[in-house]
Amino acid sequence: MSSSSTTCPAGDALAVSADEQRLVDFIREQATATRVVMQTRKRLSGGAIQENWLLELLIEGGPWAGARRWVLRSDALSALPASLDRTQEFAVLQVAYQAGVKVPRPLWLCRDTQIHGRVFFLMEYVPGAAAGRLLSAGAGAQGQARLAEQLGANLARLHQIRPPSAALDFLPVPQRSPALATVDAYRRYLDTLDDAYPALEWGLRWCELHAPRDSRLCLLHRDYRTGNYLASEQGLEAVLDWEFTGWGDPCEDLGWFTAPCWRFTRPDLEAGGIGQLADFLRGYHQVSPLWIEPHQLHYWQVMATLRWAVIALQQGQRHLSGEEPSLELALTACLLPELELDILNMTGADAP
Amino acid sequence: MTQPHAHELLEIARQTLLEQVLPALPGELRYPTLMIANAMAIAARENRLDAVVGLQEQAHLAALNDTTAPSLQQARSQLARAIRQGRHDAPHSAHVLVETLRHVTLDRLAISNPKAVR
Repeated sequence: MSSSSTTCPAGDALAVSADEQRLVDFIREQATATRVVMQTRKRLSGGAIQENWLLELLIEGGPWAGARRWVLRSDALSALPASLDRTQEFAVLQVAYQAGVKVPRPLWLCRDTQIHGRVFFLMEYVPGAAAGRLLSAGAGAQGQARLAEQLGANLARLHQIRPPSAALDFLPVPQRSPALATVDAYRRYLDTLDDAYPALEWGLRWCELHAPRDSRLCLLHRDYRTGNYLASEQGLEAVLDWEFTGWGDPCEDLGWFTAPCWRFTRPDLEAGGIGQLADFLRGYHQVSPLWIEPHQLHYWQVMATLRWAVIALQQGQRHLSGEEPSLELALTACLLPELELDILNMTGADAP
Repeated sequence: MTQPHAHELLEIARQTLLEQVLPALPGELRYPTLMIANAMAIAARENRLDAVVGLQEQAHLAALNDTTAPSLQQARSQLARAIRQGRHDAPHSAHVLVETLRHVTLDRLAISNPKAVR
């Protein structure tokens, strides 16, 4: 014990700087630079699943010469079952960037775990506010029409991407109704738990009975909501957190964005607690010819609430299993009754 | 009564945390401290209300199941199975089911987040 406690600090300091040196070397090679100096490296807040570091770099030589602010995004210690790994997320980010979707520009992927200990990728840093509470609290009486419209148009741009896509061949293409496949998946998950959840079962039954008969497939973000994009005075800056992307019904993303559970301090603003639904849909329809009926949106808002409930249970399990002890994860599980009430309100006799 | 109950301990501990400790903490600890206070509030309410809420839920579920299950856990499983099998699909049955589950859920919300009753 005593010998390790005297040698550890020096060893740690060396290990940290060697790790940083490998990272700097990686960047220098990728950027074909002559010299790279890492001025700061700081952990960014947010992201219960991934780790994000802001790197402030001085680059000499090559196409990236100058002061650069880049973000290093790596896998966290434990992940939700449905999430993509960094290699896959990097591929998604490249496809979305090429399609004109507002995302942080993806730079390089590093699969060599010698460099950072885990797989990671680099992307450009984008400034802006992401916190859902702040954005909804500052939305104003009528909401932010411009931001809502940009978010709608941006989502429609993503939905122009249709299967098949060689770059995204790791994403499974649903073979039948995406809605019914989702109901099945959530039931299978609930069956693995010790406790039963009658309100969630009712929501799933309702979704089974009201499933849309036909749906077209497109690329979904699957976590497109306030809290997962950066906004500034100019409006939308970039959409973040692409780890849940997959093929599915475009209305799924629209339902997730507009569901009551993602409106933060402004339940009256249907478009993510920051804007009016009409503004958001106007932006969507500027890009997409797809007409969204109110009943389709309602259906996918119910599904969105079910999905958030399932994720809340999974987050609670991550904590309870000891895999990742965390007060934040434990409190997420405590959201369940709120989500159950939303589901019941949306599927009862008064529901549309 | 001379000994404080668990919920009374949690309530005064939370009050002390928010009134005396939080003002002295640096800004970056504000969010985790508020999470701790929230967890203490939930635990205190659960300690105070859980027994009554559990009994009420069991009575509600027994009415829906037409039978009294040996435990709340089993009553929930039984109802969940019946819902999945479509035995509450008919409009009247669905209406009674949703209204009953609303009562049960509102009681649970009184523990997890009384402000969210909307």
